[in-house]
Amino acid sequence: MKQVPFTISADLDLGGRVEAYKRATNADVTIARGTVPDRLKGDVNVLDESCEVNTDQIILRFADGLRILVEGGSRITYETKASEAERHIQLFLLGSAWGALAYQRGLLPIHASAVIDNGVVSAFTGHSGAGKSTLVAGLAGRGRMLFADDVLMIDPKSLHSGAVCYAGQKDLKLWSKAFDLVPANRKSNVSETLNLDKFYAAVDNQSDATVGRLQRLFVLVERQPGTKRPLFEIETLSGAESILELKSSIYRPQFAEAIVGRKILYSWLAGLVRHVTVAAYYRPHLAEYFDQSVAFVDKQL
Amino acid sequence: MKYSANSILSRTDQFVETEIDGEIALMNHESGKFFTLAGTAVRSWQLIQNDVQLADIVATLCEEHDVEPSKCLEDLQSWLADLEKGGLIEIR
Repeated sequence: MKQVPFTISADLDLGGRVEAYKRATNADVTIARGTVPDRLKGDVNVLDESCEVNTDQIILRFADGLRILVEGGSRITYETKASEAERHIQLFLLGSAWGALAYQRGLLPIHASAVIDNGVVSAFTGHSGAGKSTLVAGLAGRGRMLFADDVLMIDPKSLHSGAVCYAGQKDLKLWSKAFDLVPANRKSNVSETLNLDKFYAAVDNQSDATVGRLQRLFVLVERQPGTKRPLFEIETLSGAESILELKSSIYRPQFAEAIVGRKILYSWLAGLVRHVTVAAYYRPHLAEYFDQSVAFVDKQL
Repeated sequence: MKYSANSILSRTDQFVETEIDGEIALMNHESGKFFTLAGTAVRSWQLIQNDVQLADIVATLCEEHDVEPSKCLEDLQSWLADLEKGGLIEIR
């Protein structure tokens, strides 16, 4: 089993989030400053004002003038004002561009944060702000080993025998208020340009592993006040419900459809659902219940 | 009834199918819509092969479930309409 699905070399500092992917030379993917065309040529699918795709390339445009071209699964070119902070560029290179690169390379990125135990990965997905990163940071505080934050990359070629997954990135990204809940060390702001109250963070129990087998995916659901449901409950989903949740957990799904196409994407989901148990985790999404919530999940792992 | 015993059914090639925990998920890659089949619908789906006559499906289901052919044919109507509308089968 490879330790990383691809290697990268870059002409800017990518921080510690993708350390295992970095190579000085002969990398699979080159990231460099350059000229990004205004428009793509050929049979172009314009997803929205910020993104257009053809069979081999994708252009991503961001509000501050940053533009990124990802092509052939082997090259990322970024163009921006010289004054732009590297950390700001890094945020988008390792976000949307990273997702597009994964699809071009035949990988399936899942929007999830995860812990690992003896090679077995348990992941947590949910909408933005659902508490994925904070929950895995809390689990790390209880002795679990953090595997990845935000993105896992499934290797569809492995799905005949299991769901091999790679840690998309290692450092956590936490909102400022999350540091009151979890024992994480605050690092730099994810982007000074965007003035987000979100920071990179590290925990003590961070696994060095970059590859594992995904076996469980928990969908974080806020328990509605007044329901008869227990305060904390994990409900394993049926096969059909599982496949819908897996579909919802795909990272940048519009890229998936445009780059690999639905037919391939759905065949990946069909393979994935055979190996991954999907469950909904209902809990109050309130700071006062956070410790109980983490303890509850910890017992289930 | 829209579909008769003489209707000929075929699956389309517009979907990816997977069976999980006794259920079947059908993912139409043209429309992006997902369909799930459970219980007796799973068996009925398995009987739909290329160019199969509805009468043959009805006969098998009647044999397996002790139901009258006319009732079985009636029960299948709306389900078949959903499958056809969902682009999963063609009926002629």
